[in-house]
Amino acid sequence: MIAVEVNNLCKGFGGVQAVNNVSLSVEAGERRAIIGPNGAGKTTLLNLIGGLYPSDEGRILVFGHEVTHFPDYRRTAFGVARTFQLTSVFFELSVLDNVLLAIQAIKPYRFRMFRPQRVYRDLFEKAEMFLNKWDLWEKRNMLVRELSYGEQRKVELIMGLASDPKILLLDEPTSGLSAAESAYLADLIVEMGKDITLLIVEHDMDVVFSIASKITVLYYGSVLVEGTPQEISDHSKTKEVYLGFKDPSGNAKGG
Amino acid sequence: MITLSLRGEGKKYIHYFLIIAAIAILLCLPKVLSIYGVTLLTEIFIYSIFSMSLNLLVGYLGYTSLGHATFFGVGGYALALLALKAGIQNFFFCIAATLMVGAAFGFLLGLITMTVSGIYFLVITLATGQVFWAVVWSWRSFTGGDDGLSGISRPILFAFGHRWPFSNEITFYYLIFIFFILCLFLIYLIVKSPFGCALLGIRNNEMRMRALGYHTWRYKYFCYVMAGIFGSLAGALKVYQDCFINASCASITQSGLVLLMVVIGGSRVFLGPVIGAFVIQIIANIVSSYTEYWSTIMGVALILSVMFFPEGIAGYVVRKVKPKGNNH
Repeated sequence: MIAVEVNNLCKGFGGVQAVNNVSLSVEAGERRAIIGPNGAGKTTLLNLIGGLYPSDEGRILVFGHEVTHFPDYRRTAFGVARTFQLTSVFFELSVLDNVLLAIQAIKPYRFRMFRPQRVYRDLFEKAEMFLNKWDLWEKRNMLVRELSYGEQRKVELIMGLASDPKILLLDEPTSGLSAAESAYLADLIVEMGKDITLLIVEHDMDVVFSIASKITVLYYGSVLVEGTPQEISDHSKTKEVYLGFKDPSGNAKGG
Repeated sequence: MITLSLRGEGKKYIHYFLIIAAIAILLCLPKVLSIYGVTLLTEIFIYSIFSMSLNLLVGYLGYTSLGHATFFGVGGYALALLALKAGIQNFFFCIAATLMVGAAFGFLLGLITMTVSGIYFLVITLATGQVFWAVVWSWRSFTGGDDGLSGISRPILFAFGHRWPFSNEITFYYLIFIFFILCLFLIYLIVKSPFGCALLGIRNNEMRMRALGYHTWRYKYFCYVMAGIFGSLAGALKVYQDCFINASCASITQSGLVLLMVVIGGSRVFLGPVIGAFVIQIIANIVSSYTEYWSTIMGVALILSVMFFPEGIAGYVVRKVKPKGNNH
């Protein structure tokens, strides 16, 4: 079953064609990494799939449903969730409130006005589960802005996962983290259930090769090549434009 | 179970005790205060409802409105016109009708004002507020303009086979007190509800809320409408108190005054606007009996409070008592 299908997608900003005629299809349960040099259109592609802004041309299908013209908040109903490259959470709210808001987003009572949030036990039980699993339970009453950067990145990931997405778009989940923190976060991502399809934009090649089951290389807004991690690291053109050196193992860090 | 320990809510009993003590004191106050004091306190309750309604927008949603007096005027005129032109005296009917008119205006105006945010929202609410005021001011045959409408009588309730007049200041105080407690309770429910929590999320980061799947415009729109409904209720109650209404109730001065109450009291604390309403009304009423330059003193007080207590009186107190600073 195909989770995400993108057909001939185009998006320009002024004179720059950020995404140019991109087509790709991602199987359900797949871990798809999107890599490419700076300005290759990776984040734009993710934003288009997430619905942050409309595409100029082309179609986006999620589990066979056309969502091309749906605004971002309507795509959640099809199981799409995302995280941001620049941590985008509620810094002035507590960790618990952040997670509660994320879980509440898909609940039927999310618009309820005259009943306190705390009567909805299922919210709190799920929040407790997430916070325990991600080792943030002790810090649940701290404001997110008081957390360390690495912990804020974890909150960002929980926010993506909290709505039980079928498709999770991860925009550089390890950006700005130390190598050890990156590896730790990569492990957490690898452990995510296979019922979640991952689309991940990432610069850290260690992370990419430890997570991805398939890789798409973007170059100036177009798909350069697509294949398994082995095929990609063997591909001479990829090395030239992106990895930037002739390393037969392909496992070293790229630009 | 887990939810009880989740936010450290063990101190709840102190809160209940404080609430009951405050209600008891406010119930007894008319016995000790002069009639002037009772009237002043009644006015403070009405302005508290008004400023709390504005705080839904300012404090919870993060949208600063400079036209909230429009709803005060809508509620006031709806009531006055019902009583004078239609001759309807039934208290419950009048209040219900006022709320509905307030909601209708909220739904209508929200379509215009809620298309923008930030400084543009401030400007557009100022503009719509001025338009409303200008209409009220110049449509003399309908609204009385600057001379206003007078002759509205205090409400009389027919309930449980009895006739309950609220004509004197003491009985009227208790009536308004009931409304105050009711609004306090309802607005508290709103801000603690899933809806209210979502408003805080929108104030913090609207893009993230959309990415999570919230139709944020709907939340903002309904927040505006709720603020309008409670605001128009305050306007109607004020007309009952004064037995009079004129165009100044919807003026920019009124909008500025209620915004001042929210800012001085503290928009990020639930009871902040109530404290603000109290402080401003005390200054306006007591200082004005000593000097005619009372608005100058108010201006100086505002400057000092913004300089030294940018988070308002309540915000300052909460920060001192609870260093964590998580008030909501």
